[in-house]
Amino acid sequence: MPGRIVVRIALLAAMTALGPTACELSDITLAEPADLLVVEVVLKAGDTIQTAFLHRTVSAAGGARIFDATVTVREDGGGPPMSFEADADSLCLFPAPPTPPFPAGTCYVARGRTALVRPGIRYTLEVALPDGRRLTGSTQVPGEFALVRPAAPCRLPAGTGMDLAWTRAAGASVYIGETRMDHLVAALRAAGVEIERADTPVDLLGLAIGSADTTMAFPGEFGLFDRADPELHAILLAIRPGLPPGVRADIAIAAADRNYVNWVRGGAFNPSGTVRVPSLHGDGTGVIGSLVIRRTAIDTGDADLPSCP
Amino acid sequence: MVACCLIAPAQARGQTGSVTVRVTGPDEAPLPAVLVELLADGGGVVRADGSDAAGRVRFAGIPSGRYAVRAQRLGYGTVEDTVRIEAGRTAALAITLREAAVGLPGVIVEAARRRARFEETAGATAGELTQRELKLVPAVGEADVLRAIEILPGVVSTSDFSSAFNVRGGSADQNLILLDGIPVYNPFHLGGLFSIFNADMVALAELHAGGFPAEHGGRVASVLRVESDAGGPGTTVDAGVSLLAARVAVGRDVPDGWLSGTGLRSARGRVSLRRSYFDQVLGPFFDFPYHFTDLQVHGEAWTAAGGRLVLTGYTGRDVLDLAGTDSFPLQVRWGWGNDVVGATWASQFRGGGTLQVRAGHSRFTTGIRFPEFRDTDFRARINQSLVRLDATFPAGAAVVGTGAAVDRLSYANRAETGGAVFADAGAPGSLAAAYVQVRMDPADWLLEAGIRGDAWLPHGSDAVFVAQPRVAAKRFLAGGTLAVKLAVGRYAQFVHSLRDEDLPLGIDVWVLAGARAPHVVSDQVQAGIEGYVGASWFGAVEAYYRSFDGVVATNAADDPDDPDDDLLRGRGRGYGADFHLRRERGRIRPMLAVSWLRATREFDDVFAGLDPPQRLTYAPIFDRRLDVDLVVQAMLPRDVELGIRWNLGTGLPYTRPLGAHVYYEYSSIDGGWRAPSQESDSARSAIVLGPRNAERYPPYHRLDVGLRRTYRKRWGTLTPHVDVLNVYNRRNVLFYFYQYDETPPTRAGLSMFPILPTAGLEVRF
Repeated sequence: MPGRIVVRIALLAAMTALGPTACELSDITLAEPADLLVVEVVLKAGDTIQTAFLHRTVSAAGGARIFDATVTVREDGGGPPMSFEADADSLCLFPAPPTPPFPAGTCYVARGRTALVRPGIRYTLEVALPDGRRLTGSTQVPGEFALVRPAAPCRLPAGTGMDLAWTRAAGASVYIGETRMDHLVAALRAAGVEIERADTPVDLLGLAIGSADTTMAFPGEFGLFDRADPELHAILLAIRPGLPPGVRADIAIAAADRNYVNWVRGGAFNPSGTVRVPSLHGDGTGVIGSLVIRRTAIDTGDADLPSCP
Repeated sequence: MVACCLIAPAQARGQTGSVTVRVTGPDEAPLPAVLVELLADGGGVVRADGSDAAGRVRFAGIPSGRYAVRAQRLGYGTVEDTVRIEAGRTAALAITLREAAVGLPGVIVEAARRRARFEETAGATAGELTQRELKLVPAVGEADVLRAIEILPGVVSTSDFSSAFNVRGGSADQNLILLDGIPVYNPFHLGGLFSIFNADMVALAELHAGGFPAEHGGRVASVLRVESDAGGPGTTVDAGVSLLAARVAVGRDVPDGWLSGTGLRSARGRVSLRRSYFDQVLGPFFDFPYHFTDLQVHGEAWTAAGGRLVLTGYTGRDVLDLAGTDSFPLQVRWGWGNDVVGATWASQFRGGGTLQVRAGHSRFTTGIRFPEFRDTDFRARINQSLVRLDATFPAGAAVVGTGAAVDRLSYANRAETGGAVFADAGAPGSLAAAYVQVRMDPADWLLEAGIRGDAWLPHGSDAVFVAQPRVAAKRFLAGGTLAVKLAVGRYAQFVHSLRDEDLPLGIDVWVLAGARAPHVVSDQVQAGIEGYVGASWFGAVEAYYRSFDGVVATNAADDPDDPDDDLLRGRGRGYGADFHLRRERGRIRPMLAVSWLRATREFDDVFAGLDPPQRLTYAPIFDRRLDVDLVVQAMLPRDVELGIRWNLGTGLPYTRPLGAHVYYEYSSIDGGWRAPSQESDSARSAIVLGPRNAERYPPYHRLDVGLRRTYRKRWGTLTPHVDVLNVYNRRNVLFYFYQYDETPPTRAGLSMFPILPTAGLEVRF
C-alpha cells in the first residue's frame, strides 16, 4: 500500500541521517521460535472449489506439514458445513510449491455444492488440530457486482488508456484490480524502450478504496505498489499513456472484504518485519477473507475483438 | 483550632505588603534581566529577582517597613534606592540605570530569577535553561534547545535520533511548544534529529512540566516556552558553523531618527539565517539529497510609557530530493516546514497591573511529490491563528490574572496515488477560551486558584466545553527556605499528532478533535517538597498522577467506508516522581535529575483477530521507568567552559516477535496463492507479534562532554567548541531485528549513536 512506499522513503531518509551514525549490533543466536499455526482462507464467491492453506511459522526444522487438521466453514443461518480435506499443493499455490528453506504448507480443499460461496453472506471458519489447537474467525462476503466497462474482452488502440468501471458491491472494503500482461516486455523493446527483464508476464495491481469507488484507469493506475521496483519502474513509466501494440492484458477486479484487506496491507511498525492484521483468533494467526471476482481482458493486437467502449 | 487556622493567615496578611519595581535604561526603555534585590536595614537580602521583559519585578508578602532596593545589570552601574512597604498595600518604585563599564555576571540574575520562582509560584513545576546553559549541554553539531531540556526532571527521550520528548507520561504531541508565545507544530529538522531553534536566537527556554496555571491551555502534558533573544545593544553579529549547518544572526538598534513620530522610544531587530551545507559541499562528489533552511526574525520596541512590542517571525523548510538510483529508481521530492508569525504588545498599569495582547499565526505543511507519477498527492497541513489577551492586576492582598483567547485552527491531510485515495481528512475548528486566576500569599502560604473554560467548536461536529479548575498551594517552612506544595487541575487538548512514536524519525501529521478524533481531558495531581540549602543549592522532590482520556492511535484495521474510524480512541495514565538537585551559583554547577515513571495506554487490540476487538493495556514506547541525568557545567580559567552530561535510562519497551511466517500473496487471476520465488525476500515474510511492549531493551546510558573556549579579540570573540557524544561508545539499542528465517535464527540490531565527536566555531562581534 502507499504506506509502504512512504515508509520506504522515510527509511531512506532515515538511513541518510542515521547511516553515518547508527551501528549494527552483534548477532545473537536465538532459540527456536514458537511453532505457530498460520491459516489462510480466501473464499471466492460463485466458486464451488474453496481452498485453505495451512502452514507454520518458520523454523530450522522446516516445520512438519499439517495433514490432520479439521477445517470447516459454516454459512451463518444454517446449511451444511463446508468440509475441507488435504489435497494437492497445486490447487493452492501458483505457479509451483516454494523451495526450501521456505516451509511447505498444506492445501485443504472443499468441493461441490456445499462449497458454493454466495455474495453477501457471512461465513465462519473453524480450524482444529488433534493436539487441541484451534483457530476461528468469520467473513462477510461482499455483495454481487458486475463489470460495466468493458463488460467483455475488447480491443484498445495502442498508446491509449481507458477507465474500467463496475457496479457497486455492498460491503466491499476495496476493489483490487489485477492484470497479467503477456509479451509486454517484448512489445516495449520493439517500441524502443530499454527494459532489463526477461519477457515473462508482468503482473500489476491497482486499487479502488471503499465500496463507492468503482473506477480504475487502465493501465495508468496499475502497478501502484511497484513504482519503486527497479525491474518495473521503467515499464510503468512506459505504459502510463497506454500499452504498446500486441499486448494482451487479462484483468480481474475483485471486491474484497475487510479481513482480506487487513491481512494484505500490513499493520503496525515493527523493525523485525511486516505485521499482518489477522482475522482469526486462537492458537495461531491467519485470515478468513472473501472475494467476489469478475474477469475481462483488453488487447492491443487482436483485431477480432470488439473495440473497447 | 479551625478558627485559629483561619485567623492566622488573616493576621499575617494584615502585616505584609508588596512592592513593584520598574527598571529602565538611560533611554527610559524597560530593562530586562536586571538583578533587583530587596535589602533589610542590616543590608541582608530579603528577596531578589530578575526583571522581566517589561523591566518589572514584584515582591509580595513583605513585612511592612523600610527597605533598600538595589538594581544591577551587566554593562550598567549599580543603583540603590529606598522604599517603604505598608501593610496591605503595593508600593511602586522606578529605577533608572546608567551605562557603566562594569557589572555582574548574568548567572547571578538567573539564580535570582529561579529563587524568585520558588518564592512566588505555588503550583507550576518549571525548569529553565538560558542560552548560556543550553550551549553547554553537549549536542550533535550545535546547541539544541529540545535536546537540552531532556536534562530536566520528568522529561524522557526515546532515541538519540529524535529530539521529540515526553513529559511525565504524556505523548510527544501533548507538549505545547511556543516560540515567543506562538505554537510551533513540528519544531524539528530532519524528521526530529534536531530542532528548528537556532540557539543563538534563544534567550530562554522554560519548561512547565506540570501544575501550570489557568492561563495555559491547549496541551495536557507540558508547556515549553522558547523566548527569542533580541541581543544588543548596538550592532551585533553572531555567526557559527557546525557539523549540521552554517548560521548567522545580525542584530541592530533602530536609529532614533527612524522612530520619530512612531511613538516609540527605542527599538531593536535581529535576523538569523541557518542552512545545512552538506548538499553543497558534497555535491561535486555525490548527491546528498537533503538540506534545510530556516530564517528567524525578532524585533522589540519600547514606548516612552514602558509599553513593549515584540515581533516574531520564523520560516523553515526541509527538502529531501531523491533523484532515483538503481536500487530505488523512484524520484521523490519531499518538503516540510513551519511558518510562524506573531506580535505581542505588553504594557503596565499605574497600579502595578499588566496588559498583554498577542496575535499570531502558525502553520506546518508537508508534501511528497513523485515527479514521474503526477497522480500522487501526499500532503498534510495544520494552521492556527490566534488572538489572546492577558491581564494581571493587584486586588487587595491578591493578584488577579484573567484573559481570553480565540483560536481558529484547520487541518487537511490527503494521501492519494494511482487513483486510490488512502486518506482524505480535514476540517476547521474554533477554540474560545477564558480564564481567571487568583494568587494570594498570606504569611507562609502561597495560594493559587483558577478556572479555565475552553469551548471547542469543530466544523461539522458537536461543540465541546471543558471547564478546567486548577488549584495550587505552597506552604513555606524553615524560614522560607523550604516549601511543601500541592497542585490539582484539569487540562484539555483538541489536537492530536498521528506520528508513530515507535519510529525513531518521523513527521507530525495533525488532526483536530471532532467526529474523527476525541478531545483529550487530563486530570492531574502533584505534590512535593522543594527548597534551598544556602544561596546556591536547590532541591525538589515531586510525585504526580495523570490520567489522559481521549488519546488516539492509528487504526490499522479501519473501514474505508467509515470516515470516522481512522483513529482508535483510548485512555492513558502516568504516575511517578521526580527528584531535582542543582547548584545555581558558582563556577561549577552540577545538576542531578532523577525521574521515575509508570505510563500506560489502553486501546482496542486490532491484532488479536477478534471482532469486536478487546481492549489492551500496555506500556507505551516512552515508558522509561527510571531516567537519571547528571550534568556538570563549569566555568574554568582562561574562558574555558566545560559541559558534561551522563544519562542513564532503564530499558524502553518493545514488542518481540514470536515467530515469522512466509507471506503468500493471493492472486485473483490465478485464484490462489503465489509461491515465493526467492529464498531471502524479506517482503515475502511476516511476523507474529508477542504481547505488546512486554519486553525491554537493555538500559541506556551515555556520557557526553563538551568544551568551549572563548578567545576575546579586539573586534569580538571567537569560540571554538568540541563535543564528544557517547564518550565510552556504549552500544545503546535502537532496534532489535528478530531474524527467524535464518538458520539458526538470530537477533540482530542497530545501535544509537556510537562515539561521535563534533566540532564547531562561533564568532561574535
